[in-house]
Amino acid sequence: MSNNAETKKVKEPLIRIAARDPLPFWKSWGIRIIAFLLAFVVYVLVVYAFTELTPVETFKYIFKGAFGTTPKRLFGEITLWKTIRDIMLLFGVALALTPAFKMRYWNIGGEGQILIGGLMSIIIMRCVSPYIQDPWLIVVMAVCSALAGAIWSAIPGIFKATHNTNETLFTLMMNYIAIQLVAFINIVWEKKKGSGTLGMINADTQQGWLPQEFMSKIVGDDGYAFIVLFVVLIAVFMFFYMKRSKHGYEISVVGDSHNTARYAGISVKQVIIRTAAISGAICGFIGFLIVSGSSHTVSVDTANSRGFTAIIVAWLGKLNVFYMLLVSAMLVILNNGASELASKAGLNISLSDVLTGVVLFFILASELFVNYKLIFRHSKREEA
Amino acid sequence: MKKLISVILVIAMLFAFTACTITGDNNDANKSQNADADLYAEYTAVPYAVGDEIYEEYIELIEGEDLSELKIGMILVGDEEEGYSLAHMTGIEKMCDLFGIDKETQLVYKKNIGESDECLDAAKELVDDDCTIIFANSFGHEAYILEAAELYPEVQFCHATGFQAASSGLENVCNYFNNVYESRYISGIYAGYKLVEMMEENPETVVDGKITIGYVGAYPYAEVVSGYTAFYLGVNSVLTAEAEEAEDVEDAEDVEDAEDAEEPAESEEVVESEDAEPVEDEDKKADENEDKKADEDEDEKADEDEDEKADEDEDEKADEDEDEKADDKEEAAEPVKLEMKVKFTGSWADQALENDAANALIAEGCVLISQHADTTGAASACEAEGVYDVGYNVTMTEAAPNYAITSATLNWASYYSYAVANFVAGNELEVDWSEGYATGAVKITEVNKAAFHKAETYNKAVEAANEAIEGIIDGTLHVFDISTWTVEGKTITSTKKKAYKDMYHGVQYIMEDNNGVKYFAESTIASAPAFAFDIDGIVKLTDVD
Repeated sequence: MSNNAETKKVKEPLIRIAARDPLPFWKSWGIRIIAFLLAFVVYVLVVYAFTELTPVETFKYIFKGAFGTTPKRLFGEITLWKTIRDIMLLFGVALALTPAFKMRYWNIGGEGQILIGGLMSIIIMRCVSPYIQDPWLIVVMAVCSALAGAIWSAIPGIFKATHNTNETLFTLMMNYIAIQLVAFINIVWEKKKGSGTLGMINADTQQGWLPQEFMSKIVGDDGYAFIVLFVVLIAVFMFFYMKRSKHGYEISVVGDSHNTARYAGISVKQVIIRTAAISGAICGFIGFLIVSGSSHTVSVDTANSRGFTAIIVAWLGKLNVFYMLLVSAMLVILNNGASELASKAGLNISLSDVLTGVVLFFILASELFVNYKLIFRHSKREEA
Repeated sequence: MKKLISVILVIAMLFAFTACTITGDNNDANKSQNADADLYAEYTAVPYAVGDEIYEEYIELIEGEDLSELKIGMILVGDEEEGYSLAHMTGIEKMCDLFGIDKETQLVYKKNIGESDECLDAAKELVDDDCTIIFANSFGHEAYILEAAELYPEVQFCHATGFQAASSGLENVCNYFNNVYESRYISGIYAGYKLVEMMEENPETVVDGKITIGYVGAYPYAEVVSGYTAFYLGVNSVLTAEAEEAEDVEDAEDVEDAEDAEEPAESEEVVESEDAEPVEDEDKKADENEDKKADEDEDEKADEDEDEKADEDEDEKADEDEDEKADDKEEAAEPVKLEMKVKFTGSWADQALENDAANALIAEGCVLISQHADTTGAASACEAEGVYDVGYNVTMTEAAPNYAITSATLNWASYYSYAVANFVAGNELEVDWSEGYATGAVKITEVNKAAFHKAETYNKAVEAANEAIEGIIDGTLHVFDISTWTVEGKTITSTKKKAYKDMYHGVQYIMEDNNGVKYFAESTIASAPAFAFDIDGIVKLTDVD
């Protein structure tokens, strides 16, 4: 026995990792908050190493970049509204991915679905606006964009359901088709020969623009009240759709096991296609929100990588509506803040990527400590 | 995507480095020249340069004005890592220093602002930040700047490279640009003398009576077309002048043998091409060229390479070639024709794409490369391949210490001083501002002596360039003098013709100066470049995908 114990001792690594029982709420969040704080310690150190900005200055610039400095009226600050807009759009895309991810259908085509929705909005704004006036034009745009997104997403969905193709690759490929289509339209309809951009569509009539006057008494002239409103509606819808509806239940069963679903009499094919289409429809609708509510044009940068960033948001937020909002806010605030920081410090914009990476690293690492425990060698010996 | 690009970049850099060391060995002489200033003792000519005196009138203008409340906003498409934006930053900061404006608190940058609604957001943020004069530096920003100008009539907006301010009807927005074609023309003169030197050193540079140079362009826009045409005309002016000189020398043959050596590359070339090998080479190239016209495919590159490799041991073709030899001799007596191949990258700043484009041009036989794109990609390809380089915006001597000649560049401080001084003094800003050498708005970077092997070439180039600059300033020299270029063999005498309606909307750009010289009046009617003819001698290899 002693021999046995000795060999065991030699072989035993310094640290072992083992799964642990679910922690109580306060403990798991305690770990996450500690990780977040540690992340900021490293954040500040990295910034100091590159720029010699003190922590106070660092936070000052992050705050300025994300929220602005001179609020002239309640929520009247453009910088703040830009941040809110970005948070809501990112959150919206993450919401769109939620049902697909819940079904373990890896839709990484959000980028293309947003673009195709935005493109559809632009096409309608440009070609249909003489025949239909606001507000019906906006309604048509919204519906068609959602449809376009749904179709864009349903195509890989159908192939997945019928031929079991790999949806990850397929949705990714659809992104590139959408990007090229947008680039093509940008050349065909370019505002001025050689510019390669569409410019703002209907800049004179503002037809098809979500009216910025909406609630401007409260949110100021630069507010994006409509975007916030619509994304909140999507969030409410998604919350009930996933938690309370039959569809939501079907999605989670299909996600867990196709066989179980079949046994329960669920049509797996139908659920896959339907869910992919819903996911794409919401992405397309976000594309409409971006175009009609904010940019009034479409370019290959319109989606601004939100389709990809939203994957991180959906995962970190564990497909929970509230957590996802929190994560979206964190990512956008960090990103906008770090851009200002990089600009002030005369550093490359990549600094903001580095810093976001630092924070993400800590947050991801914290999940390790939430789900697993570390067992050190000597503690084992004590037990023995 | 980013990862992929960075991997490609790293590989490209590795190649560049290894290649550097290889060429470095070959050019030991050059390296030591770098170190030893005495070697340049004979490089006596001094390139034209202006000092701070060009800003004096503006400093006078703001005398007595209170600048402490002024806040300036600047929207940049890139940041200090991108040459074009860096040039703007350098310019506006120089203006701040001259005027005593605090760069920390009174100058607000918005960097890396794409050509999308980001730009409008940035403008709004700057206005929120109490900026009263806002500059934006990228072509695609214009629509958003116009929008912002309409939103904030009390703020002055200035947009570089745009063209719509005058037609927008807004009073608080104006366009500005510099006559960069002037400095491109001047950089072309330096390149031209380098070519002359190269032809003297190695007659094989001339292939089929033609010398080929390359140009890495961003997009096929008028701004780029105008730039490379000016560069081409600059280079060509040297070759034409040298050819004329050579003729004079030939006329006065035997009289001054001594001078013969230093002057005409062309006449030398005639002599040299009687040697068997170069002629063979030329003929083969001629064959190739025919092939090329027959089918313009990528295969030709491979063919070319193979042919070149097979040069030495190829006797089979000799028979065919003999017939053409006689023709060639006569042809060679003609002045060397200049051909410029242009390749577009489809991006204003993409190190890898520019590097690729330059390498492709070199493979096509280009012996000198210039660029209208913002990175050092082309220059590093040139250094690696031992091809001479004329850059843009910033000096390329770091990327190509032995092969960078000079770079055409802009002195944005000239405009920023003008604009801010007049804005503060309450004067209206010119709605289309474009200036060149006359106000010091354009220049070339320091000429790299290491790129010139002979002091006399350098001195001659400097003298010719200085003379041309004087000509440009006093109005006797026009870069786009219509006698120096043709389109499909014809001289263009009017832009009002129907055929050019799409290009020029019936506006007459061809003007006549007091001496009766007709020229294309670039950047006079609007500040943005307008020259968009495809002139003879320039071959566009690709359009942007």
